[in-house]
Amino acid sequence: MPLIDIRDIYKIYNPGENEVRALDGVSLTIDHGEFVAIVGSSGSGKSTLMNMLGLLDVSTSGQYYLDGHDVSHLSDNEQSDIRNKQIGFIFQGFNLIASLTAQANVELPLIYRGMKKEEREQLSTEALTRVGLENRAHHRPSEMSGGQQQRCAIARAVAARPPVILADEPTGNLDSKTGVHVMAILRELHAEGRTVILITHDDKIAAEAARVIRVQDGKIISDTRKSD
Amino acid sequence: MNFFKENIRIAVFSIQTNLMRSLLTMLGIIIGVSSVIAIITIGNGGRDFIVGLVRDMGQNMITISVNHNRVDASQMISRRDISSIRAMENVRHASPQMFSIGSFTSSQHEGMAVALAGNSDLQHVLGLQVQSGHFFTEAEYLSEMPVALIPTAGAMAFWGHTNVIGQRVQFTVGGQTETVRIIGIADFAIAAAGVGGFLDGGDDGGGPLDGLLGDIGGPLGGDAILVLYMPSSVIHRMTGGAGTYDNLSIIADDERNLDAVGSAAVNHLYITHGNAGSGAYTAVNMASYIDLLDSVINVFTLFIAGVSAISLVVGGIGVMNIMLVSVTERTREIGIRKALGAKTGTIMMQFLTESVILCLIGGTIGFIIGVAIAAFVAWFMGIPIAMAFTTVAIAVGFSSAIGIFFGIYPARRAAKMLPIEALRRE
Repeated sequence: MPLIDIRDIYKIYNPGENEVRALDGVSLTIDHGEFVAIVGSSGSGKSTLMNMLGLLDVSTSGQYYLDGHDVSHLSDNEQSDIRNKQIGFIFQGFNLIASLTAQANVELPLIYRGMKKEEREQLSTEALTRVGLENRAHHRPSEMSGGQQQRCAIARAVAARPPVILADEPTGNLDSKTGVHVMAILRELHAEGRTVILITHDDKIAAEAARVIRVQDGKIISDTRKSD
Repeated sequence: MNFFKENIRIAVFSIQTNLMRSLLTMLGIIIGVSSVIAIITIGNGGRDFIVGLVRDMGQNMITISVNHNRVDASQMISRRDISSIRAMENVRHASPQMFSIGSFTSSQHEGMAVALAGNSDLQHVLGLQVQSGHFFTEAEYLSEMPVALIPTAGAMAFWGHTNVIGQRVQFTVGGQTETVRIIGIADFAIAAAGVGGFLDGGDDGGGPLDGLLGDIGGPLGGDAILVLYMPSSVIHRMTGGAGTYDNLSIIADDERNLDAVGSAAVNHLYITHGNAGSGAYTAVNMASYIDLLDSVINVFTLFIAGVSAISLVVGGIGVMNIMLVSVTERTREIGIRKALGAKTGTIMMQFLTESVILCLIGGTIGFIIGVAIAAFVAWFMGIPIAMAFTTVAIAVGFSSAIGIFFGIYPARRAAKMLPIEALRRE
């Protein structure tokens, strides 16, 4: 059974004459432990696809089976629960909460999971150590560099050990050297057996993945696997 | 538990980062709560004070008065009427009250004199406490014995000491002069209990009326007035009156019998004088005064409290506005939290907590200011502070209710957002 199985997903804005088909009948399966890059130019629909996969947005029509369960018709709260337990998000703009320290940011998904304080502290410290930010635990995002912020965001995504990591242009706001570092962490996560889905417009970055899916005008135009 | 602590932490942080804005938001709540509390506290204190004062003036007293426009001299209250009423069931004491202004001379002094006269029950209807000597008896009243008691203040003012029993004064009223023998010293009982301070002009130990009369005496002659508690029969003899009265004060045995005793006495007067239906006699008791007073003050207090409650509503709308601003400002944060697994209820609680904390802080400040205002006013007016537990409950309850009520809309708006819509906002 595939981990992710979406069937005939449409996302249509302004239905009618001037409708925009951000996703135009996309079907896709991703197995456990894959490292997938979704590539496309700006406006191709790759971000909309990632929002669908991450249950951040609702589709106009189509089915989404996550680990065999239909998740497309779940309530708001049930979807929150799935995001919390199954998916770790890494955003282009980091999306850290400015008023919280690095550690508090990493602990957020653990709080929503209802974890006890000691357990939270242990997991968040582990995650921060793993991305090399153990010395920055009590800094706020404004006191950290872009690369540090993105590493903090990665720590947040992995702290709860979700099976799926969704990374939307994770290197987009970083210089190339820091970008390499971030990609190394993603490879490591994949090596651990996690499913990593990477959204990018950059072919060089996409080349790191074992499978590359190209999106254009809301449709998948190619799906290639490296045969190494 | 985690969420709860986390929510409070977030709320406090958000209030701190926007301190000025938060304070201005609270202003409406502060003004509202403080004025409601001040008004209610002052109102209650004033009511307790006035009701207490009226009550002390004669809790079980019924006053029968004769309507001068509807009676001729033969229908006034006679001595016989009074003895019959005194013998009635549930009647403890009954005496008329006469007030005559005259003058007096003694071996050392002369000045104005006021006679407060009645029968031997005058002591009880006036609420007098005999300090020394004895109150004039019914026999002394019936035999028109020219005797009098005077208040401590009078004794001190004219003799310089209270050892005045047996002293004689020449009392003149209505052109007639008689030698009156002082047989005792009597003061108002409530002055002794320390409740009559409001009316009591000084610390002379005299009752409320003594104080007032002393004050009147000041401008007139520079001397105090001598008050004489005397048998009214003596005054009647001196002034050549018919020996009847236009009023009668009755003290009942119990507060519950006031109405019954009042109407029984009035009926008795109508029957003996054969003028039923003329409306010649009316009975009023203190309980009805107190009830009336109580309800008037209550209505008044509620009215003013209602007016100040309007500012609470205005304050609540201010809180709602600020919460909407806060939601808008933090849309992205809401999106992040939802993406990480925050549920609708969690987000809603976060913003509700913030508005409730805002209102509770405002309510607490308002409460302190309100109590301070009430304490100051109470001190200024010389009335007691009546701080009821209900007042505290109102303050806390009101401000959290406002926080919840006006916080719900912004909180729902924040919680219902699609994560992606919230995340897209800058």
